Amino acid sequence: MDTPEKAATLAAEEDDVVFVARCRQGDTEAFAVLVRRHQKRMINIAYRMTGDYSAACDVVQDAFLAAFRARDKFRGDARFSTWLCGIVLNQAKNYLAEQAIRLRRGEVSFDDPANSGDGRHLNGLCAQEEPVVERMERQEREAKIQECIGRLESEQREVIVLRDIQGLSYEEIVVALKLPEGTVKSRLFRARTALKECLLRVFGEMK
Amino acid sequence: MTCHEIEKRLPAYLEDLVSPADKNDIAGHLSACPHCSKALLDLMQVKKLLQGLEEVEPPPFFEQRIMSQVRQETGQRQGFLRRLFYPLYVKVPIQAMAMVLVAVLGFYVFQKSDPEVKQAVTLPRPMTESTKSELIAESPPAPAVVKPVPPLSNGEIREKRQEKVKDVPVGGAQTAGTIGDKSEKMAADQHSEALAPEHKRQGKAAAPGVLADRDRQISAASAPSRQKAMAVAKGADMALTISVVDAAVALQQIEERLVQVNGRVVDRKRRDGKLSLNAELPPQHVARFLDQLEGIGRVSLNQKTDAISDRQVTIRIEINDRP
Repeated sequence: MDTPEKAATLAAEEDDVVFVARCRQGDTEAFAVLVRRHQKRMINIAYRMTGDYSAACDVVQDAFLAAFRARDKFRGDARFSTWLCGIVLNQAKNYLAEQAIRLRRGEVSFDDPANSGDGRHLNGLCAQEEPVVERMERQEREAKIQECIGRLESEQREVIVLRDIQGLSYEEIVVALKLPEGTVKSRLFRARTALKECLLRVFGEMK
Repeated sequence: MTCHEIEKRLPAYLEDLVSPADKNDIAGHLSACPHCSKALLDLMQVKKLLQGLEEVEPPPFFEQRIMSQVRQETGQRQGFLRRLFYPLYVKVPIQAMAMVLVAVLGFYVFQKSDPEVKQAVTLPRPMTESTKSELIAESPPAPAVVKPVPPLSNGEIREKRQEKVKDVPVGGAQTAGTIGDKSEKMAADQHSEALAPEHKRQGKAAAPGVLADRDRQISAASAPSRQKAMAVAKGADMALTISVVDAAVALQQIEERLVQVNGRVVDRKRRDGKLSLNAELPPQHVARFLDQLEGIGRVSLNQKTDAISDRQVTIRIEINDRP
């Protein structure tokens, strides 16, 4: 990370702490700033975890609400975004557990589209400039990748989402998941190997 | 290392998290093994694919949706607090104070009422004709039983009444164990119902509160009938019968023994040819006095009150001539 970017990130982190403090003092509107600042990242984490856009929105909404309720428990020794990541991941795992139960009961079909509305909310500018055929190919490829991510165990999925998709450092992942670094790394390596095998099966040849 | 082992270590190798020795081994293997080299390339491609995944955007008005829920929640909290305090902002403290007050009052009332409850428990059941007859049947032969007598004068009626009252505790004490002044008074009142209103009033005048004053007024020189009434109404702590060869001599000896133990004779009387006396003595000398009585004649204890206090103990002694 470049030095100016680092400085900007540090400034944003300090800002987060200030806004959390204002929330604690009863300033509800300060929380709106935190939502605005972190909603995209959280939506992406939840989307990669659940594979369902609308479910991801619900998960993030619940996570923000849970974070607001637990604002007094945020001690400030970790970054607010990392703390929030942990909450989102917990909510997502709860959602997945509920889905698994519903699947076993036959309430939902495994063939239900898990990525409903994905294309509509992709980065608007890129989606518009891209030729239609290429866009469709890319969407198909991403759907397959997402399908392989979805086939990972939730413990492997969360480390791969945080590390390889969101680019979090090992330290941040350790804080967010409350796991030892060794566990995080071993889970990540197993997840990468499993994902590679899945993608090879899906694509035939890795391009 | 085999290809399988190398493949397992490739993710760590990519992150440069293997030891230098392993790193050299893996690098040597990769240069010679096309299969493992491809596996490494695939792994790198996976990472690249993941990093190239398109980001999704939050839905429109997502922030507003979240914030409306947050505001709703804080609004509900305020509403709850408002409901709790409205219209009186000190409602909760007042409720708390009221609760504490009720608790303290309850405790105070309980503390106060406790002795009365205890007293109520020890009270004997009211004397009815049937229970009375039962008690008399269970008790050993009582020294005196009321017999029907021809109409008497006022003074004689009073004396008779005292005798009746005296008989009650003898039977009652054997079954109920402890009968206080109250129960005896109740029994006395019950008997006195049969008497003239004038006598009834006199009986009621012997209430415990008045007794103390009247005890002080009683002296050897005062009216003997009043003394008798007092002694009987008050009731004796102990009642015993002593069988002797010569009642007159025994009476004299008993009086002497009483003087020795700092006691005194309250009254003495003769009824149906039997001598009886009421005496008072300090509680600490009761045992000694009883031992001394054993030397005079055969003593049978008819009544004993367990709850002897530190006041003077009253004893009613009946002297029987041994046949």
